[in-house]
Parts: sequence; C-alpha cells; structure tokens
Amino acid sequence: MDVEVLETQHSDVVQDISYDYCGRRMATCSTDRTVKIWSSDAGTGKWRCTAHWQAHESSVVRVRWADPEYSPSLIATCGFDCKAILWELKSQNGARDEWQSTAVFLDSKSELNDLAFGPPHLGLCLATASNDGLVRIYDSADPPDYKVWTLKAQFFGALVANPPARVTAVSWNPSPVDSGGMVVATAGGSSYLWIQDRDRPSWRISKILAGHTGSVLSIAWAPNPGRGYHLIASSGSDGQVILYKVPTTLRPSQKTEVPVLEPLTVLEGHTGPVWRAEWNVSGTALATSGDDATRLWQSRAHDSSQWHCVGTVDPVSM
Amino acid sequence: MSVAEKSKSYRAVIQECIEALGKEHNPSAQHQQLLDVVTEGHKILWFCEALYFVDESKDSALSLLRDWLRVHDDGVDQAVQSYLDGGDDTQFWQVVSRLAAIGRRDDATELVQTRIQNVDSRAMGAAALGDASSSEPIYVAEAALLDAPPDTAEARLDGQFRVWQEECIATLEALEVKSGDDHLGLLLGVLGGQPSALQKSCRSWEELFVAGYLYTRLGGDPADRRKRSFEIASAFQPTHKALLALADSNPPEAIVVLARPGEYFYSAHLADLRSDSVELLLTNSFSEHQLDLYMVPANDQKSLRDYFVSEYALSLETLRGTVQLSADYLLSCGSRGEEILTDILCRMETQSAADPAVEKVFALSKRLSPKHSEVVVRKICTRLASNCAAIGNSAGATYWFTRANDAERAVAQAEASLTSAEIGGCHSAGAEALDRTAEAISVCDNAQIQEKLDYLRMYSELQASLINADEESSAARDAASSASALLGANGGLPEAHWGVVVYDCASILLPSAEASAEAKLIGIGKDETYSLLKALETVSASTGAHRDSLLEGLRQRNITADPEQLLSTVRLKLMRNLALCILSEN
Repeated sequence: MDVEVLETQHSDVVQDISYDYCGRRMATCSTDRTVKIWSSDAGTGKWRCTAHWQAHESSVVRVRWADPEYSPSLIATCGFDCKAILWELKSQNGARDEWQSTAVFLDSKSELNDLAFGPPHLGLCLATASNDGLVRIYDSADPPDYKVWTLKAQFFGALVANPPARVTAVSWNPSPVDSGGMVVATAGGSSYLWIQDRDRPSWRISKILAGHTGSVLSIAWAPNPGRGYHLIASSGSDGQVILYKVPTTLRPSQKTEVPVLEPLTVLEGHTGPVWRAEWNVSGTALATSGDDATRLWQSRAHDSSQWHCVGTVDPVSM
Repeated sequence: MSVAEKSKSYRAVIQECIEALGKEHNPSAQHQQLLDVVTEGHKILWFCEALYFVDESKDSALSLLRDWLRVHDDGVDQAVQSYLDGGDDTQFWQVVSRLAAIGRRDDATELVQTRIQNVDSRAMGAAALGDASSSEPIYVAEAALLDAPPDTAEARLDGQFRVWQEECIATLEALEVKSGDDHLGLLLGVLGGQPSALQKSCRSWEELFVAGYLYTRLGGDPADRRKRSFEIASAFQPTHKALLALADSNPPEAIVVLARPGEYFYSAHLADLRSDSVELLLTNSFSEHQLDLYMVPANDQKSLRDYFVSEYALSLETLRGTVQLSADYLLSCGSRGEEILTDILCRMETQSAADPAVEKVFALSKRLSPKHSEVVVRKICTRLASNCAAIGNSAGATYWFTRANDAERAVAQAEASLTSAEIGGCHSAGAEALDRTAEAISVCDNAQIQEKLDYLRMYSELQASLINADEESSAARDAASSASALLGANGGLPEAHWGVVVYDCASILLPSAEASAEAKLIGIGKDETYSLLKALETVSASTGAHRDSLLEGLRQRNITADPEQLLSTVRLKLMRNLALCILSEN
C-alpha cells in the first residue's frame, strides 16, 4: 500500500482522526489538548490545516463529525477532562477558519473514552462512553441551533452497576431499516448489544458479545449494503480482532438471561494491543490499527467467516 | 449473445480503449497505469475465451492460444534467428525447448532435424578423420518430438498425449541415470510437463502460461496437477498465479486471488463472464472431498459476480470523473449494488446549488428505485439546506428543506425569515430576504409545504405594499387587504406575528390631529379595519407567557416604546378609522 505521512504538528500523541461525510475534510485530536481541522485540495489531494484550537483541559481522545444533514460543519470531541463538547464552524477567513463551542456536556464525572453521533434517521443524537460505566445519549431539541440538548437516556453499558465496568467504546447500528441499536465495549472484555424499543425511548439489552480476554479498545458496527445479517468488529488489548455475526432482527432480553454471542471469527495477525477497528463504507473491508502495524482485512466473497489480511502498513519510524 | 461473443465484445471495446490510450503523447503515470490495466485485462479475457468459451473439440482453443502468444510475442523469433546466425549448442537447446514449450513443436522439430543434417555431415567427415563424437541426444530429441501425438484436443482427451508425456519423463529419468545431459533433459522435461523445465524454458509469464496450459492441464492426479501449477506460479505475481489457476481449471480461485483492494478489474470481469456460463462447471477432476475454500457452488456464481463487480465499482469511484461508470456497474448488481450506489451518491460533495455535481447526482438518482432515489434527493437537498442555513441564507435553506420534503425544518427556516423581516420592517434586508424565501417556496414542487407556508407569500406582499402605503392609496389598500387575509381564519399566519401586522397597518393611518370630517380614508376599508381590530383584541386579551410571546415582535420592532402603549395607540387609530368608514357609508 502507498503510505504518505502527514505532519500534523501536534505536540503530543494523536489520539483520533476522523474524516467528514464526503471525505474532503479531516479532524485530528491529541493529548496536547488541541483539535485540528484539515481540508483536502480537490486538485492536488494535499491536506492543509484550516483550524487549530485548544478544545479541552486534558487529552482529547475522540473527535467525530455530525452528518451534514444537520450542519455542514459540526464536530464533537471528548476527553479526559470529563467533558464532551460540540463545535461548529462560525467563520472562514481565508487561511484560518474559526470554530466555536455550541454545547458542553458535563454530566459525566469521569473521563470520557468515546462518543458517536447517531445515524441521521434517528435525528441528531450523540452517545458518550465514560469511565463511570455509563452510556449517555443526548438528543438535540432544536436542530437549527445545536445549543439545546437533553439527556434522553443513560444506562450502565455492561449491565452491572456495582462495580460498573468502564465503557471504552460505542458504535451505533447505521442501518436505517432497523430500529435504534448500539454496541458498547467495556474494559471487562465483553461488549454489549443494546436496542431501542420502537414504541418507547428506552434502551434494552439484547446480546453479550464474548471473546476478548482483555479490555475491548474499539468496536465498530459495519454498514450493511444488502447483507442478510450485521457484522460487528471489536479489537482489544489482547491483540485480537473479533468479528461477530448479528441477526438483523434483534429482540430485547431479560437482564438475567442475556444470550451470549460467540465470535464468528478471530482475525489473527496483530502482535500487540489493537487500538482501533473501522469499516469501509460498504462494510466489506476492515482496517485495524495496533502498536505493531495497521492491517486491512477482507472476506472471501462468498464466505463471510473467512477473512484474510490484504495489506499491512508498518509503523513509520520516527 | 453467447458467452464467447460477449467476451469478444468486451475485448473489442478494450482494444479500442488501448488504441485510444496509446495515442496519448507524454502520458501521465495514472494514464500509463490505466493502459497497463486494460492491456492486462485484454490478455486475460482472450485467454479465458480460449480456455473456456470456445469449443475445444474443434481445436480452436489451442490455435487461439498460439495466436494469442504470437500477438504478445516476446522475442521468440528473434531468438531463433539469433541462433541461426551463429548460435552455440546451449543456445540451440534453449531455443528448441522454448519453441516446444509454447506449442511450436513443428518449428522445434524442424530446427532439430536441420541440426541433425549438419551433425550427420560433420560426423561423416569426423568419422573419416577418426574423430566421431556421439550425437545421441539430438536423435533422442528428434524421436521424442516426432513421437508426439497430433496437437489436438482429441489427442489430449483420449489419453494419447498423456502416454507420450509419460514416455518423455521415463526417457529423461533413464538419461539422468546415464548421462545427466542437461540440454536434452530440459527439452524432455518440457515435453513431460515438468514445472521446473517449463520455467527454465520460458522467457515471459505469457509463455509460461501457455506452456502450463499445454503441458500440465490434462490428466494426472488433480492435487498433483494443482501442486505443479503453483510450483510454476511461485515466482510470479498474483496476476500470473491467478492465470495459472485458470489453467488449472479453477476459475473461482483465480477470481479470488486476483481480488485486491482497489484492483478488482480482473476479478470483476472474470466473474461477470463466468456468471453467464454457469454450465461451465468445474471439471470433474476434483472429487467432492477435495473441494476447498476456493470452490464456489454454481448457485453462488451470481453473488460472487455481484460482489466483485460492486467492489470494482467502488474502487473505480475513487477516480475522478468515473461516477457514471461506477453507477453502470453497480446498477447491474441488484439490490446490493443499488445500496452502494445510493451511499456513493449521498456522499458526493455538493457545496451549493451552483455546484454542477448537484444536477449530476439528481440525474443519476433517477436511475435508482423510487425508494433509493428519494433517499438521495432528500440527503442532498437537506445538506444544501444546512449549508444555506449556516451562512444565513434563509431563502435557500427554506427552498432546499422544502425540496427535501422536510416540512418541519422548512417551516423553521421560514419562521426565522419572517421574524427577521418583522423585526426589520418593510424597508429592511430582512424583508428582501423574506421576498426571496417566498419566491423560493413558490417554485418548489411540493404542494403540501407550499400550502403550509403560503402566509409567507402574503406577508411578503404586505411588506411590499407597506413600502409605498404612505404615498399611494392603492398601496395602502393592498396592504390592508393582505393583512386582512393573513389575519383571517385561513390566513395561516402564526399568532406571534399578529401584533406587528396590526401595528404596521395602523401606522399608515393619519395621526389623530388630522382626523377631521374632511380627512380622507387612507385606504383601509371597514372590513379590513374590523379584521385588524379583531386581531388586536386577540393579542390584548392574552395573558401571561402567551401575551409576552405575542408582544415580543412589537418589543423587537420598537425597543424603547412600551408595547401596551403601542397597542392602545393602534386601537385608537383603528377605532377612529372604523368610525370614519361607517360615517362615509352613511
């Protein structure tokens, strides 16, 4: 694979990178407490930093773009200062754009590990994952303004409240056909699949995704163009990348009898913690990133249980 | 169209493409890469045509292969000429082995026989001089070549070819025991189908490809044959391994091996051709228990094809200007392709209405099913609306939200536009923006939202009339009429805006000092005055928070004045006007 190094000029670890919906802009966030926005030149493909500001009082660990249906330039960040913040582009002044905070979420008293905007068919909503074990879901009450949000739901991601397992990652079901669904990863090694009742706004547990022997660091629900089932990928500190096959019709379970879903397959290859797993837009290729390398995985066309590594990018030597 | 005809049709198109690309002066790297890809694709399609889509019983496959190789010649004839111009022994055997490997056994035999004649002449002379060297290898080679059965499909199918190959190997083994003659051993190895000999004899992957097909394909243990194929392919790139898998009668494996992220051209088109030839089942050389991961059941051929064609289309879409091509491919892939195309169209960057991509996306979306087309249109229109809203273009935002059929947000934008006009007054920029918003709504093809927002048009007309109402009685009458319609039961204007409407209309009435018996009626008729008074009383009768919200418009318009005082003033004016109207009637 061709590799190009982008000098971000962040003064510390780059924690996250996120493309916008069209893939023309990128946001990076870092332990140096700042966020940078990058724009790609349509002709040359070169990236240029168009905005840079201090976003949090501690490490910024996640940055996500909202769907452009709601705003062409709206991002959310979260960090170890226990805050999630919404930022909107306010003005563009030639070489430098100005972004302003439109909403701050302070409900968590513990560090936030992840956040994710819901799929657009559910409205403008945002889920956060916190070290206090809670998943919080916020709904925008006033779409054109983005200042007014309400806490619509919160629940312990791992069901158990005492002690609560840290929630490390969260991923929404992107399919517009199904009712609301979300998978929540925890430091306890399991992930939990939650679904939203069509008739009520409450969230109910559906399945437990087992398989990891260490903390689950990342989880991603694959886009589903015409498959008869869902795929979820998780990666963990145990070096494993696990794929789960989930039926499209999910039922809520009793909290005391939650069925456990075994892995569809385990992708072998990484030799250390795997920090991130992300799907491509068609849900047919998976990228995983670990301390040892970044790998690209694809399945056999006719057999989703068989995956092979089709490319590897070794860490760039510093 | 038969599969063979379809393949020829593909090749004809690709050939035209190659010729067109070849005319480019100073081609860019991307251009050259594209040329390489289509050239490779042409080779593969031709080879597939020869292997699978032509009736072998008529021997056309073999001759097609030889023709294919002649077209992609890699210097075989030059090598022959170079030997004839004074080559040595080593060169002789290399050329003969190479000719034999690529199926030109007649040419190889001719060369051997020519050399025999030369050797015989020298041998006679040398014998006369008492220096006769052994010429056995050349005669063994001649015998092996002459013993070969006819190079036809029939000879291969009835086992003659296999028997002859086994004899060559037996001779080779005997020779190796005796003399270890490498030159003759190379030729016998080629004729016997030994992968190492074929590799040594061939100078390009195309030659090796044909050699592998001619000498390793038929007969023998399937696992052994497969192993030999991969031995041959071991030094080559995936493309070549895949082609040898084709020679090994394992097209699905070839298709899968060829599939790499961003390089699905081969897989896509091979799978497309194969899906139309379901009758071309894998040969019965593989028993059931030997089926492995690479085998695709016949009923999965279609899904295999759809998968690779859609992946190819996705990779194609990353190139600029190829979305139409991607769309064509994806629309041939059923529901899966349509889902992916919907997502691609939704993600096309569309900054503003002036962006040519907008119309392109809309045009392409018409090729989708109604459900998916609606998704694309709604997504693009909503995004354009959000862009407009972000820069304060409420007219644009209202228009695009209306086209997206998002009534809630369209109304919200319209409300924002109306409030802005209300606060600024009829001479403000807000009023101009409202005028544009009303016009934008009127051109939307959404009767439901148009009806819902019709009050915007009337409010805009009211504001336009108010501009000249002080000087023109007709304008005043029009303003009053618009206001009356807005405030009526079917006007649709939200109550929050009634106070300002009444205030604006009352403002065109003469001040009290001029209210004399000779005072003109300033164009507000009795009925209109009555409507205004009714609306005024509704506002006045409200209480609490509701009252505050109804008076908010007046507060925004007149920051210093007390809204209650304003209401009283307006009431007086309207009452006086009503009285004048009644008096004038009587």
